[in-house]
Amino acid sequence: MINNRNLIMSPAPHLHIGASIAGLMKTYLIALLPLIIFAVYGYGWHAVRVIALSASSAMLWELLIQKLFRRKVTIYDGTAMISGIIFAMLLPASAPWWLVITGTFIAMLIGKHIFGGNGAHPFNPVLIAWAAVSISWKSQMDLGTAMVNYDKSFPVDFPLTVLKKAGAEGLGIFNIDVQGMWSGKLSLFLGNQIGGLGTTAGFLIIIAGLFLILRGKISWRIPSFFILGVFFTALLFRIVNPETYADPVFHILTGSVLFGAVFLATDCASSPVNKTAMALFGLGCGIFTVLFRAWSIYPDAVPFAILIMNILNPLLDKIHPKIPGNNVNVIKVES
Amino acid sequence: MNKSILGIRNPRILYSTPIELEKKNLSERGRVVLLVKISADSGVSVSIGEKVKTGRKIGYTENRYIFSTITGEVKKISRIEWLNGINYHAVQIERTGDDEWETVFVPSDENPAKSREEILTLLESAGYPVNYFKSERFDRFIINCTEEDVLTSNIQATILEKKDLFTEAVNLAGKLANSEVIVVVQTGFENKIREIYKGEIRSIKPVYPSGMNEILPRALNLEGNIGIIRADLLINMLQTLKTGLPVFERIVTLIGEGNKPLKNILVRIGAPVSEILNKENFEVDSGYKIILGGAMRGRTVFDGDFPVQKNASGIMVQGKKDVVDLTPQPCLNCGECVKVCPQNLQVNMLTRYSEFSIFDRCKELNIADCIECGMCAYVCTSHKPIVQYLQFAKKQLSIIEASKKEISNDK
Ligand code: SF4
Ligand code: SF4
Repeated sequence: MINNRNLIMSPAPHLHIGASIAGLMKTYLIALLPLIIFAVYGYGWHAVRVIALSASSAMLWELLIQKLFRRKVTIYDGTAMISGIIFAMLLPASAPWWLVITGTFIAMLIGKHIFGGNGAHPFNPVLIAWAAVSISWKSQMDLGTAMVNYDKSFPVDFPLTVLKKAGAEGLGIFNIDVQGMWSGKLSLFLGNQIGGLGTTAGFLIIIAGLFLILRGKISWRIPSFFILGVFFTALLFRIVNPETYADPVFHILTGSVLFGAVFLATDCASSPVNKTAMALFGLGCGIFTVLFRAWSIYPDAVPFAILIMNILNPLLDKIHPKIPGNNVNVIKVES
Repeated sequence: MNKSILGIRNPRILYSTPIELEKKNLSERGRVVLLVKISADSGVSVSIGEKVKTGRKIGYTENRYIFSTITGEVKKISRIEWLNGINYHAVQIERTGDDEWETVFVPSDENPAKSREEILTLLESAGYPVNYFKSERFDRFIINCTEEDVLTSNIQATILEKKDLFTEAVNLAGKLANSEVIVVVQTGFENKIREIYKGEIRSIKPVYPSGMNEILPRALNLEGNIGIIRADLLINMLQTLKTGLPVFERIVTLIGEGNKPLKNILVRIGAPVSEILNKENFEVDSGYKIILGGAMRGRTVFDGDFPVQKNASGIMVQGKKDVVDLTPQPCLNCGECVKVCPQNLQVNMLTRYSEFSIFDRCKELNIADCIECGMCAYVCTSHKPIVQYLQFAKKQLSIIEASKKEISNDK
């Protein structure tokens, strides 16, 4: 039976690979899950509080803003939730509730919806929020002092603050730059350090990153070149003055370099899509990270470095490959 | 579909391998609707009630003749419009009995052996596109034996069906193009073609869209003036030379619900899609999609009466479940489209520029080089109808160009 009425008309193609925004966010959630578990393992209810509050408030703000702006409500696709979780990952476990919800509000309004929502934001919304709250409430966001009341098996000083204040020689408390160099770094890599909720466990972040790359959700270029950028810039500093500047591996393992490389710099809307541009973008993030760490007042400056590169993103994407096949003139004989 | 579980490799779609060809008694097929494109120089040369034989000239458009593909009576001549705003005269012919033939020229086995100029004249009189053979010089000439679209296998089925003609057809191409000929097949088909053809064969990976006419020469690293023709058209030409009859039937792939290729069938050109589907016991209901062509480049029809065209590769029916959801969502700038575009276009930007009607930027980003393969829309995370946006921008640009020309002419 052929019913000729109400056939569907649509442009080609008539197949789809099955990807969707919600699917992309699900993959992100899976990648973030180990980090969440690690944070909860390390900080218990404090972590649960910050992460849950951040994720839920981000969704709520998005709902309110979209209602207010009379836009289509898109909280179901999970982008707001993932932004919320990623924001929480950057916060110390001690972050007060008002700081969390102010942060997510800034992320959703100034970071995202002012520019038109999903995909239209020139900066990573999470980083806008992070920058705003860490400039406004320095003491609450200062990882060097925020965590001193926690009882941990490892030093409760933020490694990068120690580096800032005491130079590379002060890193002795982390078993670095004294004998047993590698054991100290291994311990940092395993997450035995103070930092944002989700930024400390290097090994888990690398696993998450590999997972995202293997699933084809992020390109390997941005994270790898980010880390390379950090490594070589830090190496230069180290060669010039080994007393003040820490060695490159320490830089990679502390603060939010790994987390930034995998989850922050790769944000779709604010990172390039072309191969060369992606490499340059990652490299730039890495270089600025180390420059800021060495010369600015902020001990960890990964978010600022990425924000700077976000500005350059449209420019970088002008570097794109040429259309192939200039030297062939195809004459089609078709009926 | 070849969907990799790991995402390191770009997403890709493979061409199909040939499936069984089912031959049915053709005379039972009822009517045909023949389309004559309405242009400055076009017309219909039959009238209602007239009896026509298979092969009878029924109209012309832009110096090309259109022929009847069955023997019957002209029932109706109307005007229809298709998607892209092109208008056609639709000549409906109803079968009155078995085929009687009306040749365009005297059929002879000698025809293919005649001189190049004579062959071109014969082919032109039978409605084939021969202008390029007359006007161009080719460095190489490719006979493209790959499929036109995914899920379809009509080209390979045609070659296998017309086995005996293949070598002769290749020679014919060499003669017409006056240059070296390369037969290109997709990997997996070489063995079959080696059995019927002894000359040089090159193969390409069966990955869509590498077999498309526009980009195939590049895949083979050829340079210069490259002519290219699909094997089915070439075989038709040879057959016409031997029989004196214009092309009247075609092998198309039937693709059923669940995007599953069912079989290849032989149909008369002009047969209404709904009639073919009815005979093959298809169920089509509202909310279904009927597609003329393959899965990546086929066009949907709004009316089941729409006829099979002479370059149709398949007939596809999608059920409600198969229909791709195109609910508009904003572009995430994820870059998937850029990653898969065979022409290295900045698809993410092109789509946005088109969406916001900034067409000169589209031109700067070489939108003209898009071959409309559809890979970008296939992978799009936001399910954007990218190809439609691109077609829209191209159309608008051509209108702008035309009006510019008009203005400068007026001055
Ligand atoms: S349809 Fe055009 S833009 Fe899209 S992938 Fe194909 S060539 Fe590129
Ligand atoms: S694939 Fe779709 S969502 Fe991603 S950049 Fe291209 S158009 Fe935008």
